[in-house]
Amino acid sequence: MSTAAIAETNTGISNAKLGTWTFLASEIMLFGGLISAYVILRSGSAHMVVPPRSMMGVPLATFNTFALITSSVTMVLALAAIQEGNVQRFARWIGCTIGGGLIFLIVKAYEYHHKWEEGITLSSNLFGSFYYTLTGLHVLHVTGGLVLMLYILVAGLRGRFTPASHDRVESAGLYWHFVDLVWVILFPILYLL
Amino acid sequence: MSVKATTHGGTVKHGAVDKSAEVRTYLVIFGCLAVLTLMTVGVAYMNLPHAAGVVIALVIAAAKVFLIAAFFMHLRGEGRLINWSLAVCLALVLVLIVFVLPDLGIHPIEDAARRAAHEIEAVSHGHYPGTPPAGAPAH
Repeated sequence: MSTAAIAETNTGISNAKLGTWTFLASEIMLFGGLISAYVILRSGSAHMVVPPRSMMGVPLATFNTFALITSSVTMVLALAAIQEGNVQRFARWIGCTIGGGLIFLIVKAYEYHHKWEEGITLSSNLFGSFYYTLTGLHVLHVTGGLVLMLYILVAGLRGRFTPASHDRVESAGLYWHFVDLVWVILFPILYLL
Repeated sequence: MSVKATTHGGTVKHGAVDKSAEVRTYLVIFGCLAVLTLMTVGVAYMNLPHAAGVVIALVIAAAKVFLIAAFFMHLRGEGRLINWSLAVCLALVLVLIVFVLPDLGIHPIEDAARRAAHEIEAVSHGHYPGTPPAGAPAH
């Protein structure tokens, strides 16, 4: 981030970073509202019948958790690479991040198909509704993140980012880590408890 | 543009910062996240009392959230404006949960009985509750 860019703002924070955090704050309320509704209904509704763990496919979900955590660390390594001015390494780590996201989506698609066959559907009961709403919203975020990563990769390869100017990489990274962070919460409350 | 070698291979252009120390930190955090993920799965299969299982899983999830936010999202280095804004957000989410939960404690026995009835029905019919028995039209 350039010093000039910071100096132009009253807060001392670049507009890109402040905008990204404001967006993420609204995302916290979006997921927070849905997760709190799930927790309350899970605690107090007789219509929330949680499937046995064997139906939930915990090993696959654990694998997916590792895929996202790994993609998160490759994202932060990509940021470090562009801060060092190493575009090749930046592109390699962004490629790994995209790979992690793609693996997550492929496994999720398999999981959805399998669960639907097992009878866990959107209309089976409250659990099914919440499962598909929460994970579906998260999948949409992962998909959006992948589009963002592709843009970052192409822009990086075209020389758009330098050690002094890489706000968009930082913002994309914040978003991607947030997506990872949401999954870290969804994984135990949907699959393990 | 001048170029120099970094400690972990590759080159650094003029004006860039050597990030090798930060990279090591990221890898350590990644290791911690991996171990915590394995722990949360392991604890879930230990058949602990439900309340203990919930508390442990949530504590581990909170630790993972902290590590990602503090190190990967660099919240440790951010100023008060961003940190306090996020704190307000988290407080509001907790309000959504905590202000409603006490009401649920009023009818725990009835709820537990109804839930148990659903589970017994599921076992006796051999299908997941809420779904039609085998042979019935699909949703």
